[in-house]
Amino acid sequence: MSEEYKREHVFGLDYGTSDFKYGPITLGEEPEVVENRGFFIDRSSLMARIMNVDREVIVGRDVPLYLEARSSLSERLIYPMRNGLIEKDDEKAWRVVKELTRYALQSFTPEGEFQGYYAVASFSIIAPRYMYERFFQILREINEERIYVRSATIIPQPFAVAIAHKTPTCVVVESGHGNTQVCPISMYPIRDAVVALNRGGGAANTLMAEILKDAGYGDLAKEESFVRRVKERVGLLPRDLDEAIEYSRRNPDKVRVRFKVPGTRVEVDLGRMSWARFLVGEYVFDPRHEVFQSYFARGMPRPSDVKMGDTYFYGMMDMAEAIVNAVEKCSLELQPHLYSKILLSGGNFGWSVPEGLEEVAVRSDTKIKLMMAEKGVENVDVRITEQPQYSVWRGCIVYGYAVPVDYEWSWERMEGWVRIA
Amino acid sequence: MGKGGNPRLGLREGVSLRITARFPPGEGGGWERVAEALSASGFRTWDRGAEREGCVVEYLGSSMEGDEVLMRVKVDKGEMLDEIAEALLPPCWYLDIYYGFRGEDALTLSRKLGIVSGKAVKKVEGVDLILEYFPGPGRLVVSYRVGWDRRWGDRLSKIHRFLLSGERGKSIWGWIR
Repeated sequence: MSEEYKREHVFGLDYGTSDFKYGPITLGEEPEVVENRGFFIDRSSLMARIMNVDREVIVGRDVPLYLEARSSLSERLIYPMRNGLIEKDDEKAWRVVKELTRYALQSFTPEGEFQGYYAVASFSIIAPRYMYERFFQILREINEERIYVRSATIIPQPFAVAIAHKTPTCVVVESGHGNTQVCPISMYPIRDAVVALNRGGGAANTLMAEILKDAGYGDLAKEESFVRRVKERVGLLPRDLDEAIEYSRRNPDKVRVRFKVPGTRVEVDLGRMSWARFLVGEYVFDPRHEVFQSYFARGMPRPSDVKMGDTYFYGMMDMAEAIVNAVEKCSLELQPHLYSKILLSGGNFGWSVPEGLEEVAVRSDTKIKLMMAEKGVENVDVRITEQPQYSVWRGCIVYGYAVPVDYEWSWERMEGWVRIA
Repeated sequence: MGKGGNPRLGLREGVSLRITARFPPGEGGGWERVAEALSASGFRTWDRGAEREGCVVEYLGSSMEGDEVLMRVKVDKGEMLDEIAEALLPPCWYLDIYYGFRGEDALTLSRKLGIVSGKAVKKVEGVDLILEYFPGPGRLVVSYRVGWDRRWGDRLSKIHRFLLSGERGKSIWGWIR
């Protein structure tokens, strides 16, 4: 197979905790995005037989068409990578990964002289070897129908971000829906120095739902997709939370926001609760402020420390402390170089600053700089990646484009192409 | 770029433009060599990009041997594509130009070009455009090769205009004049 063929047929697959981003190199800047989930249909049901539903698992854009009663969702709607990990024997989760992968490849299978894609998948940095082995096996199984994949490789998500930005020495903070990975990189990811947080965009959604309940929208707060939209439109990241709350009390009209949900009659107006907009962003970066205690006391789950595989996910550690902890696990000589380039990637860093609130609201890069300065770390260069939700997919494409077709996979180095077809 | 109707047909949200530049067999040089050629043609260059008159060329990656370079291009006016080709051919052997369309843009253009799904070839300005439409996700990829074996003149900007506004003088998007 020629190098030229490979370069035109690189296919990126980013398995995020909430969204699955995929597509070939030819798409340009933006991949296709569907939720990283699958719905298991009860095929024994009368309706499934009448409607001639022949699939067991539904993935992609069709999922909402099959969702049944809310009570059945928790056991039948599976998000396989909520924490970035899949248990070895979690067959349902692996089934969803297989169907999603097939769905992605089928969507972009060209006609004519097609001999399979060079697939570059990206998993969490903490994914163990068995996940790699199982994924390659899944590709072989999918290939039994027809050749979708010629060769494949897997790279850790933070590494993909560093590749996309051509930054060989840096700290990548990849914050998705379910968790946050802090990974120092010096040519390769320094796996022993990775720090993971059990907090991501999902935690901010949980807090947003509580705020909506307090503001009188308890019925709507049950729908996660609605809460997420409100969070993205209404949530703010404060420069300093206490000052932002005080500012809100002095300037209620400046902080007040109304959000009309497109295509519906629903309008959200936080009214006197508008100061709480600042809590949403703060919670992601530092959930230890006393103001959050009242939410915990009323039953909102506190982000807990959990152990998944060999990795601890810290619940309450603030983001700057996570960065400092990760960097301080590296050699002293390397540390200044790591602090000098911190890349923020993932949909959880997309906080914007509305006009008129520049005094109290900040973007993620400024927030991290301020938090690092509080810990005595100066001269940090923090950058938010362009369209941070697509950074990993773009890194997959650039990596696949560069790695020569004859560079074979090595389990020792965890790099190269595994021949699938 | 808003939908205010840019008479110069710059790229807008929903359309992406990538160029791969290939050096002759046995030659390399990577982004540095491309940047050097662009610089000689009046582009301001830096470690990962180049800019001239609102046209930004961003270096995305290269092959391990440095014989091929992948770039993203943002243009305010299609004429800058003619300038890029003029600057890069030579030292490059050929350029592959890729347009990615999605959503309404993809649907409208695929209908205009008469492609329902799969692959097709359409000649525009004497150049074979390869069209690939994926109806499921609603994506259209249009690509063509610009080699050093012929004079290209203003063909690239004409193709650009054709793709972004339909046939010359006849808009396929109402907002483009």
